[in-house]
Amino acid sequence: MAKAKRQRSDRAPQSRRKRRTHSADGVDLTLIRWMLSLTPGERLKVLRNNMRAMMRLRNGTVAT
Amino acid sequence: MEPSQPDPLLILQAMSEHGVEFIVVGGVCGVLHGAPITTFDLDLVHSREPGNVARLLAALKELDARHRDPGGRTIRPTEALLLSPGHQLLMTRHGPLDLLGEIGRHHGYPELLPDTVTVTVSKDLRVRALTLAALIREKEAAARAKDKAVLPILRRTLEEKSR
Repeated sequence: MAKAKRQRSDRAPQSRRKRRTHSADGVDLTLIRWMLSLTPGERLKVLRNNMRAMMRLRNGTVAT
Repeated sequence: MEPSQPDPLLILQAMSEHGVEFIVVGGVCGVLHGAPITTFDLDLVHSREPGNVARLLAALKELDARHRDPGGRTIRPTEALLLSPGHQLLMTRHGPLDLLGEIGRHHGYPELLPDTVTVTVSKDLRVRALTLAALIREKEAAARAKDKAVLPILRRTLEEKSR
């Protein structure tokens, strides 16, 4: 049991290293993983929603 | 002309319905491959074969396309311009659309075709897009500030996809 626990705890830091949140050049890897979890169609809908949100902000139509 | 609701999906749908041969490049190509970037225009490299340009003109008519003219004049795209290697910066009823005869070092539709994949956007819509590796190469070659700005995200996206 103790050996199994040690093995799990030994593995954990390695696992965390593999799933880092940012690259060395500062890119948010969590956003990339989220986008990759979507289908191409869903990714385009995210883009479309971003475009529309920015247009609303630019045009001052967001409720405050 | 300001689009009421920008929607690159509807532009792609119109192109597809008219049988236009094109390759998605630029920011939308990056998004199709999973890059978390935002862009406002849809960049397409179209086949400049005369039959394709005729189909493209029909799609552009349906989209009420016109040049993004700083003077506010209504200038419609023409066959002669679409047959040229130049870039046509248009506004449509569904948002900005850039039609590119060539990109990079004289890369037109036939030159880019080997570096493309077919992406299934929906059950009714499949589009041809540059591979992510080819998009990165094109942006590295262009080396403009706006291209350099997104390169780290595109490179990390390619890495994450490869895992």
